Amino acid sequence: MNSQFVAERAQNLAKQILDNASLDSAGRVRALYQKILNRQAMPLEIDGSLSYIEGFQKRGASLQDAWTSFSRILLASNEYIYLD
Amino acid sequence: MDPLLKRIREQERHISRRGALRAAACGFGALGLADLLSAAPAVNSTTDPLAPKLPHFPAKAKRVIFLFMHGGVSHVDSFDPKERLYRDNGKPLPIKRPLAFAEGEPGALVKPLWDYKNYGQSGIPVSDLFPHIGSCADDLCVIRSMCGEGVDHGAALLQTFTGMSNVVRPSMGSWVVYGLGTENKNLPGYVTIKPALSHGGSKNWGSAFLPGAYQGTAIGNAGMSVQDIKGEPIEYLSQKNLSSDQQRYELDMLQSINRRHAEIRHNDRNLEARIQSFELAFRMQAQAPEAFEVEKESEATKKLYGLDDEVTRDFGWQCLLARRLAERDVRYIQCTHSYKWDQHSDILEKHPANAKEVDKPIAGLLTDLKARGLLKDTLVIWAGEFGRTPVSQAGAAAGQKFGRDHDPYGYSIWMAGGGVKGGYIYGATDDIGYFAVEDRMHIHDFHATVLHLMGLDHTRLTYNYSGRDFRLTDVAGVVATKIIA
Repeated sequence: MNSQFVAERAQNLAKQILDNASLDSAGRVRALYQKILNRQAMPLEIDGSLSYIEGFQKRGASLQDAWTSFSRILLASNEYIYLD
Repeated sequence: MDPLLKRIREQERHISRRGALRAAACGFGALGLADLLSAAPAVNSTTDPLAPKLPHFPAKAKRVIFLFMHGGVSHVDSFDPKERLYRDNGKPLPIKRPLAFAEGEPGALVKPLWDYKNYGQSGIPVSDLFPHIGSCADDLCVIRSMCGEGVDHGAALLQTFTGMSNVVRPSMGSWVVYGLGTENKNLPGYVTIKPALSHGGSKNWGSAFLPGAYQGTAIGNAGMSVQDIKGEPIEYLSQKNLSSDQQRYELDMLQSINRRHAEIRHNDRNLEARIQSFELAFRMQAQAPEAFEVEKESEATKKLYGLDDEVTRDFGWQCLLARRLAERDVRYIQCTHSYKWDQHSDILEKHPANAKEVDKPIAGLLTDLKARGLLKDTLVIWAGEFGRTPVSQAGAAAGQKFGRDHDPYGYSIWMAGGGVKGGYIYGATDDIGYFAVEDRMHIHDFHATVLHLMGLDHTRLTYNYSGRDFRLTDVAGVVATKIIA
């Protein structure tokens, strides 16, 4: 989770969804769930994720950094690491 | 119930074959569990797999420091002098040679290559390879009757550390931490310093089918210099891009996602291990750097371990770090001197050079542990994966510099502290030092004995995997009660 490799992958994912002008915030969460976990995000997950993004920015980080952090979380999640 | 969780459960009921199997198997599983719980020793009910647990009976040792001499030290040249080898020096091997690593005919018997002195009150003989260790003789329990089956390094390392060389099994440190947990929540319970990546590599400190929480944490590896390791003793531990506040916030989100995921999967132990490992890593960020600050020791202490001398600096750093981890209650610590001792040739030059690198640091460790009152409940083990033959390796006659082949059939290790008798010699090899013949201590017996000293009955320390119970000693192992103080 702390390696340079994961940091770069998370940054790239964040950049991709932020560069896509057609996505709103909820769309970005959906896109990351689809890309990383290969499934649809559930409404409660979307709400939780959006409040996370907001909270992360309140801790002195940029929008890009907040989405990088969220991408890193999904990359480090057990759901991503392990097959069911 | 959490509405999201409820919804996921509903979804899962329709889609997960594994969930269906689990539900169907539940009846039998529950019966088995009830059985297990009634027979189980005192088990902490917390979900933290590393929480301290009571031993089966009062322990002599609280922790282990294993000093591993990778390659195989020649026992007849260090801790097991053989009268007959002086007498019959140069004569042919008087017995049929057992399975050997070296090809071709065995060479002639070779007398001990370094003189022996009797040390301390006990008068234990130690050769001039290890004068500093010799000075600690009254604390040593020298076991001259170790034996195993591995004639090559890979098999011998795996057997030494996991009990088995033909299948993957949990390492001894993993079994110990599985049995006892660990008392310092801010450091790993099982640390291996500069381990060898060869000859089984990570299997030698792996947890195999035991939950991942019990695997050893590697500090660098044998190929790295101490200087390189100091920069980041535990790989990927530090998070350089986030503030501590941001990191905690991120981790909380990850953990809540992981908890929900685990709950749906009935809190599978591997998922739990990974969740715990993040928390351990976070606590370690605050605590571990301090434990690794070997430089903060006094000049006198650093000197005691030989940190002031280039020859002894590397292993001295390992030994001093081991002491710092031991006093912070890390349960199981290994230092590795790798991979130096494999003298099929050049033994006259290389064995003394190797010995010089470890002799003073090891004596320093024993002296320091004793002075701090830690030796009495710290079991120090010194061992290679096998010894070396009393005969020279064929080929030496053909102009190569002389050496000795592998001998797993009878060799010497020693223990100190942790409830073993000091100034004591256990077991014996035959009159040429090839085979253990008296009070043989097979590697299984060694494992049973180490577990016993830690307060664990090796026959009761079991883990159910793949439909049967497993233990470190498989179906073997006898505790060497004679060595217990």
